[in-house]
Amino acid sequence: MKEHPQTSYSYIQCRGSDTVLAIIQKIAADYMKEFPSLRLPLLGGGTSRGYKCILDKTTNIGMVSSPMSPDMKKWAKKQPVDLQYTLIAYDGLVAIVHASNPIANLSLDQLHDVFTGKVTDWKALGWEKGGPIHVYSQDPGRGGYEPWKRMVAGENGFITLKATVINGSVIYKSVQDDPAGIGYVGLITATKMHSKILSVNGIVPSIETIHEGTYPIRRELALVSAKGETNPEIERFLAYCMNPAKGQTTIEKMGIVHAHAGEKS
Amino acid sequence: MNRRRFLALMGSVVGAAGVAGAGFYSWFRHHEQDRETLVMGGSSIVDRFIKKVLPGFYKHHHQIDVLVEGGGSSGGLIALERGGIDLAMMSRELTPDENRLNIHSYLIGIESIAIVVHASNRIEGISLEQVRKIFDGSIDNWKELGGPDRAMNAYGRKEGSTTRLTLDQLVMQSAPFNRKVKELESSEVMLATVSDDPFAVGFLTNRHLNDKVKALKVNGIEISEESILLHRYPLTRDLFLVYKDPEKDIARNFINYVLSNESQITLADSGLTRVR
Repeated sequence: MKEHPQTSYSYIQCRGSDTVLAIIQKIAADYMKEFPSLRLPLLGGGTSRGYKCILDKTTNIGMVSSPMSPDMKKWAKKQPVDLQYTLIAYDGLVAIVHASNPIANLSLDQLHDVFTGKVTDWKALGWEKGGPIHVYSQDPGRGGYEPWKRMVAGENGFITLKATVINGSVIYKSVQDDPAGIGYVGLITATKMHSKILSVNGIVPSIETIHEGTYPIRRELALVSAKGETNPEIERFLAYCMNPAKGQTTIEKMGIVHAHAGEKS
Repeated sequence: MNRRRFLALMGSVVGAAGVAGAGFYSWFRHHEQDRETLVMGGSSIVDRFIKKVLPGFYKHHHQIDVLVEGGGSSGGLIALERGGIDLAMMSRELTPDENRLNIHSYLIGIESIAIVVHASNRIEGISLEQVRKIFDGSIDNWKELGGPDRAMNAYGRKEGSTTRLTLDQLVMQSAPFNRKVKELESSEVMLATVSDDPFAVGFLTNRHLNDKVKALKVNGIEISEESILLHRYPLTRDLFLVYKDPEKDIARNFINYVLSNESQITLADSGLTRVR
């Protein structure tokens, strides 16, 4: 690999949610082919980093999969940067259990009781054998945490303190190894990792049910940038992600609900 | 050699214990005359690249002295939080716990390592797991990778090499190298050795990669500028400079220089993939 660095390249760094990163990897590869003078270094690290790296101006585009945490919101108000939010896709959040677990469906109320710690034994959910439920939750810096807390634990609810906190997407591994475990990840990750996914209120999470909004737990995947950004390359890339024939088609081909599909529902 | 340069050189060997002393020195110098001292500490991998851009930085900032300490990524971050240094050098992302709102990190470049074999080798790719097994000795014949029934000649780098350190941390997961792995002095020797040995396997940073050897796909991904930038090629390491609020002008000057076109060219010539 003897590609000598060219000074004529422009660089746009994107940083944040690993779920969004998986999408941007595909779109950025197309983009660099179409615009060979552009370079797009990508960095993961989670949603809170996606917001922070725009507010502290360390990166050009942030990748996020949930709203800002309350702490971040408070801090953001003190920063001289206003955020521009570009919704690119939707992802369902799904409950996952061990492959040997006989339960296939829980109601949203049952999920609420499990994740707030009201119900602590599998027997109460209809598993004959019974035994303590091991709850796994994401780190609050990760994109799944806020939407799951809001939609499952409730606006003023809390995830049970007994939950084991796991750093983001590897939560699927913990649940795959624990017959008594239950956790949550994005549908995109769960499908890729072949986790056992529960339906909720009898609705199987899928592109269709997330698109229609019948599956009740979904989150927004978005790019954030600084309002009034003077670098035209940033706007150009954001527009490419939203272009129905370009970025949005790539997202659809990945089996993900793109932003335009969501608008119709 | 004047005192400033001597101390700058000393800095790299003093290690974390020197951070407090360096802080004092910085205070002392500052009050002595109109010179300023920037103190950095942390990862020896980042340090190696920072040394390459220092001469350029001094050309633009005559009045600033830079002291570089060791301590590793975590040690550097702790020193930064305690106010002992102005900038931390890190060869890994901040963990969610470390990612506090007053700590800010800039990506300055990406280091990457190629797994290399003789140009005539017909193997196309390898998994990270297989790389580990080659260097810990559990794979020692090419037929285990679908090649001929021939002994594998594994070549490594000596401890102390930053390329070796990167491979240790990304792949080996604290498994030691097998004694049969021949440890070579430099990347140049590695390149010469692997290009001469049809049954060799070794590793190089991408700066040393050329047509005399063949780079294997790792986990199905070819090493290229694109796969490194898009975070698809697995044997990469992101390098960061980290500052803490309130940001000092002197730290800002240095970050701006490292992110400048001039410095990014130097970093790329030293083997990093540039990111600005």
